[in-house]
Amino acid sequence: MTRRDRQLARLLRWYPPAWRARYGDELVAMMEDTLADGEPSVPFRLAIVFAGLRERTRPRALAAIDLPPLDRKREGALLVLAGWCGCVIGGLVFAKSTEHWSAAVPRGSAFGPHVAFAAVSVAAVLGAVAVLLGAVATVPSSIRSVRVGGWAPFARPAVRTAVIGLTAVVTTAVLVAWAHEIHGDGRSAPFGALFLLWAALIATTLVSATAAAIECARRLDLPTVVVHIEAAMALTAAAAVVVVAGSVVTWWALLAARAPWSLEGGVRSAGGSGWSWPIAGSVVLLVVSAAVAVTGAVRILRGPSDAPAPT
Amino acid sequence: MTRSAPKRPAARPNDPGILILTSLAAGPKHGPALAKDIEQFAGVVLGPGTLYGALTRLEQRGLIEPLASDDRRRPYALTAAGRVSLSDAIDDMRRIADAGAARLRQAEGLRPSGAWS
Repeated sequence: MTRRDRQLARLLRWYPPAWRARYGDELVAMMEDTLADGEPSVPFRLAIVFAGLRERTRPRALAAIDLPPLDRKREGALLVLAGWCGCVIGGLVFAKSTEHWSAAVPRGSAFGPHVAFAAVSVAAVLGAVAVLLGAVATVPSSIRSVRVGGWAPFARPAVRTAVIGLTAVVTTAVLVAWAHEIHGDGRSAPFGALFLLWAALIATTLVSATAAAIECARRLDLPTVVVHIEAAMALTAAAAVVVVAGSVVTWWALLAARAPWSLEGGVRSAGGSGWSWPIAGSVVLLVVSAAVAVTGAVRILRGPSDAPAPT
Repeated sequence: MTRSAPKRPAARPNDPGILILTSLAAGPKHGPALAKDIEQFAGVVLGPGTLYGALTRLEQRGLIEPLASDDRRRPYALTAAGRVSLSDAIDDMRRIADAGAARLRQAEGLRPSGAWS
């Protein structure tokens, strides 16, 4: 494969799998004719990227109607897993940003926010249990896969995640040890910057682990009953992501209305706008994660069933 | 009495779908040939992404159909529904062109003749 062939193949990957299967060869042939002997320019590449993303957002592609039913359920479940990863990261940012919120809120204003906060916690636990059960359901197939084909298909994603994870563990240990040595004013700007770097490393570890899980799951030969279990767990996790996102937004709206100073770490009854950058960031991440999870749920639920038609 | 406009969005002459249907009205063509023909008769350059996005929509709506081919460059042909759709689009554009021409003639008719002096 020439360098240009690899470039065109990479551009084609912006299109959804079903579209590539149907039109991929034709599009590559047309790109070759258009470019002649030249390399794809930046405007050319951007035009293909945007066209591919437009195809991905068409309702037919979002629901993956063209995939066989079991493949569609698997892809939907894996998309929900990606949404769950975003929800975990967004949830951790939210948890860190709201460590002492209840102490700053007047007793009479606290009921609604407490209910919303409790909904976040309950949904997070339910989602985690669903994801864990889904992972456990694939263990027999994973063992069978390794026995038959060895570790080779899973080695690269596993090693990548292990390296990133080990870096995160070592960094955490060093930072915790150092943090115990410094007090009060020592925990100033450098400490804050290091904490942000550490948080980014943890997020990278989570993303890498999720990507590895998706990559490995795609290589497994799963029995039909396991696919159905995955789909059911994925629907539960998707519902959990939506509840977490909705509850965080509700909590923020209630607190901004009743005790805005508590979101800015100010003195009680000192006014405040109710704006908080960390919470805004977590909300954005949670809403995007909910959109991804719902898209996965739509793929699981819509389209032709794999049950045989009644005769 | 003039025919009232149909209740659907008016066709645009530079719409990639209309350009493709117009090109295929002269006979089946594959992607690169479509792009070349469209550039010649309409002066519009359709890149691969835009062209194949429009081909996808047209095929999903049943207005064009792929023909068998051993080459990667698969030719497409207009279906009967595609002919009807193109005919409707041409009627829309003709109606707009006629209205525009009539109004221009009216406006020119109201202008004072001769130079300002």
